[in-house]
Amino acid sequence: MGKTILVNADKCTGCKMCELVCSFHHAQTFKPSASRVKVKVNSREAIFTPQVCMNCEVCPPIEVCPVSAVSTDEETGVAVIDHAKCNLCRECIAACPYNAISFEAGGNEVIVCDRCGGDPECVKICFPEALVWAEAEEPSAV
Amino acid sequence: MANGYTGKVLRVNLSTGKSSVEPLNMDWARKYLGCQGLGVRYMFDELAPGVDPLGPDSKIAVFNGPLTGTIAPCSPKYTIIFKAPLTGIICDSTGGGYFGAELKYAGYDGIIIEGKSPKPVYVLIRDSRVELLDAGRIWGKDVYTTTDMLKEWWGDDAKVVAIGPAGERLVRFSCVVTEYGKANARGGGGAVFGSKNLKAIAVKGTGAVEVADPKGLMELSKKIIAENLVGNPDQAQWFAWKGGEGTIGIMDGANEFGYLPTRNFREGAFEDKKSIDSAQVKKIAKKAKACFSCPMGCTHHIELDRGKYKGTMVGSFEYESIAMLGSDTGINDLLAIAKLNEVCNNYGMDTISAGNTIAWAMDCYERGILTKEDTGGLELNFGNSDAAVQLLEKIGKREGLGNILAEGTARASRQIGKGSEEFAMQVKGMELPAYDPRVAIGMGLAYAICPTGGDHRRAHPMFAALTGGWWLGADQVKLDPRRPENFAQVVVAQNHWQAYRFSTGHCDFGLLETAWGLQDLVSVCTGWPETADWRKIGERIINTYRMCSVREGISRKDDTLPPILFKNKVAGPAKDAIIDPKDFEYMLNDYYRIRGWDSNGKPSLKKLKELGIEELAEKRRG
Repeated sequence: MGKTILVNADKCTGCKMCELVCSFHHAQTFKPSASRVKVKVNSREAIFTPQVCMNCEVCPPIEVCPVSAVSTDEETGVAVIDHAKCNLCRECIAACPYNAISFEAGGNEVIVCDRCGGDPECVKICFPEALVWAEAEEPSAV
Repeated sequence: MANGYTGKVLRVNLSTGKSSVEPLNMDWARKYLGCQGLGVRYMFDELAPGVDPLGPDSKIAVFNGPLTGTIAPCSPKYTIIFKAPLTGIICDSTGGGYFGAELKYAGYDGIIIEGKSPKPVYVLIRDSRVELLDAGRIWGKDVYTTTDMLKEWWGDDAKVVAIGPAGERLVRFSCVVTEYGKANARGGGGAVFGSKNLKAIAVKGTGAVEVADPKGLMELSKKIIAENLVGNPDQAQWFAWKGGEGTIGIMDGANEFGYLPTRNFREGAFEDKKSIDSAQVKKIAKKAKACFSCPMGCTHHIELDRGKYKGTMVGSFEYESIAMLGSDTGINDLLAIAKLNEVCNNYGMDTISAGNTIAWAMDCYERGILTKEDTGGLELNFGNSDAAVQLLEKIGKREGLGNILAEGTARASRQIGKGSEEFAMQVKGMELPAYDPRVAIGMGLAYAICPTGGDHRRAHPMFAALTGGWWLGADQVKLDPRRPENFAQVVVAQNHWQAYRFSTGHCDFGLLETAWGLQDLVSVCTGWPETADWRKIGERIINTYRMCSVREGISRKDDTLPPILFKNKVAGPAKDAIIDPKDFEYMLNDYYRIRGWDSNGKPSLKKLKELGIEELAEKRRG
C-alpha cells in the first residue's frame, strides 16, 4: 500500500477547517456540503469524528451500486465514482460505513475523497494531527 | 454576491407566522460590516425609542459577519442584537460554535424576528425552507434536553440556539445557548426570546459563501494561521489542544495583581485560588474544543465522572464563569462551580450576571440586609456552595428570593434597599465581569462608557496598563494603572478595534493586534478597500450605538460606576487601590473630548457627518 489518510479522532477539535480547504480545492468555494471529508460533531460528549474514505478492503458501495459506477482506484485505494455511469440513486451513500460518500447539493453530484492527487489539503490544515498522511499499514476492515 | 455576504436577510413575524426574505442593505454592510455593527444599525431603524424590551413590538436581530463561514481563521461568530431587558438599552451578544456559519450556508446574512407567537414555537431553517413549528414538547425543557431533542428530530448536523426555563420565565439576565454551553450570554436575550414564545432556532444549510478573492483569502488565511496564530508564542494560551490554558489562564495574573473579584469585589485576590485555577481545570477537562474555523480551540469541555456532582457537564468552562461563580461568591470547590455553570447553561442564564448577583445576595446576607427568612432558610454566607446551587435554581424558576434576584442586581437592590445599591456591582444595570477596575482605573472608564453596560469586551486597558503589553494602544502611550492620564485615548482606540473585530465574525482571541492582519482578511473577503479601515468603521459603530442610547435617555449620569468603587479600597495585593472620583471625571471628560461628544456624552452633528451617519441625528426623535 502507498500513503493514505489516517484518522485520529481523539485529536480532532471539531474546527472543520478540513471541510473548508477541501471544498475550496474541489469546488473553489467555501462550502462544507461540497467537502469530501466531513467532521461529525457531538458537542454534548466532545466527540469529533472526521469521516473520509478509509480504503476498505471490501468496499460496500461497490457492492450496492446498481450501475457499477463505483470502483477502487488502483493506486490510492480510495473509492472512485464514474459520473458518466452514476444515476444519483445514492445507494452508495447509505452503504458506506464511514459516511465518506456524500451528495453535493447544488453541484448535483455524488462525491468522495480523491486524496487531492496525493497531497491532501485537509491534512495540511489539520494542526492537531487528527488527520495525517502516512503509509497505510493494512487496508481497513469493515 | 461575491463579497462574503449572501445578500439576504430573513424576516420572521411570529404574530402572523409568516416569513419573508429581503435584500441586505449593502450600504450598511459597507459601513458596518456585520454582526454587532450591522445589527445595531438595523435595530436603530427597527426599534422605536422607548419600546418595551419584553413587549410584542420588541425585536431580535441575528447577524453573522462577512468572514463567518469562510476560511478566515477564528471567525465563527454570529451576534444577537436586541433591546436588553437588563439595561433598557440596545445590546449585542456574540456566540461561537457553528450556528453563524450554518446560517450563512443556509443563505442568510441575518434574521430579524418580530411580533409574538400566540403559543411556543421554534424556527426551523433548511436553506430556503423556513418553518415555524410547535414547541409544545420542548417548552419548559432545559437547554441540553432541548438541543438533544431538536437534533434528534432534525439530524445531529442541525445547529441549534435555544433558551431554557430562565428565558421562558423572563429572567432579566437569561441567555441564548448553543453547543451545550457557548452562549449569547449578556443582557437578557433569552428573556426576549421567551417574551415572544420563541424557544429555539435550528438551522441546516448546504450552500456556499462566495468572497471577492477566494484564492487570495485562502492564501492569506494560511499565512496568517502559520505566522500569527500557530507560529506565534504570544498566542500559546489559546491552544488548549496543545496544553494552553484558554481563558482560565487569566486567573493567575488576576490573583497576582489583585483584580480577581472575591466576595462581591470586597477583595481582589482569593486565598483558595489554587483550588479553582487553570491547573485544576486542566485536571478535570475532558477535551479541548474549537469553534468553526478556529485552529486554536481554546474551550475546555468538562464532564465530572465522580463525586457529589457526578454527571455534570459544561461544554465551555471559562475564566469569567469560574471567577464570578467562584471567587466572587467565595466558593472554592471547582466541582461545585462546574455544577453552578451547568445550572446556568441548562436554565439559560449568563454566568457573569448570575455569579455577580449571587455574590451580591451573599453580601446582603453577611451584612444582615437579607435574613434567613428572606432566603427561604438558605444560609447564604460567602462560600456556601450548596446554598448557591439552590439559590441559582430558584432564580431560574423565579421562586422566592430568586424571583427578586432574577431582576438583576440593579432592580433587586432598589427593591431591597438598605444601602444595598452601593455594592450592587453593575453599570447601567449590567453586572460587572471579573476584572476589578480599581486596580487599573482605566478599566473603570471602559466599564462606564461600554455601550451595553458593565461589560469587558468593548475595551480592556487593564492588561496594557499592568503588564505594559498586549493589546492595542499599550505601546503608543504610557499608562500608569493608578493615574487617569492617557487611559481615555487607549479606551477609544480599543473601542474601535473591538467594535470592528466583533462586526467581522472574528473572535476575541484570534488576531489580537492590528498588525496581525484581520483588516486584510476582511478587505480581501469583501473586495471593498474601505472595509480595512478599522478606526473609521469602529468609530462609526460606537457612535451609532451611542445614538441608540441617547434616544433612550442615556447620558453622562449613566456613565458611572458602583459607588463602592469610589469609597472602598480593594483588599489584597493592590490594597490601596480605589478610584478617586476626580480621576474618574478626568477620564470621562477626556473620553468625551476625544470622541467629539458634548459634556453630557452626546455625539455632535459634526462627528456624525464626519462618519457619514448624520441621518441618525435626523431620526433621533428625542
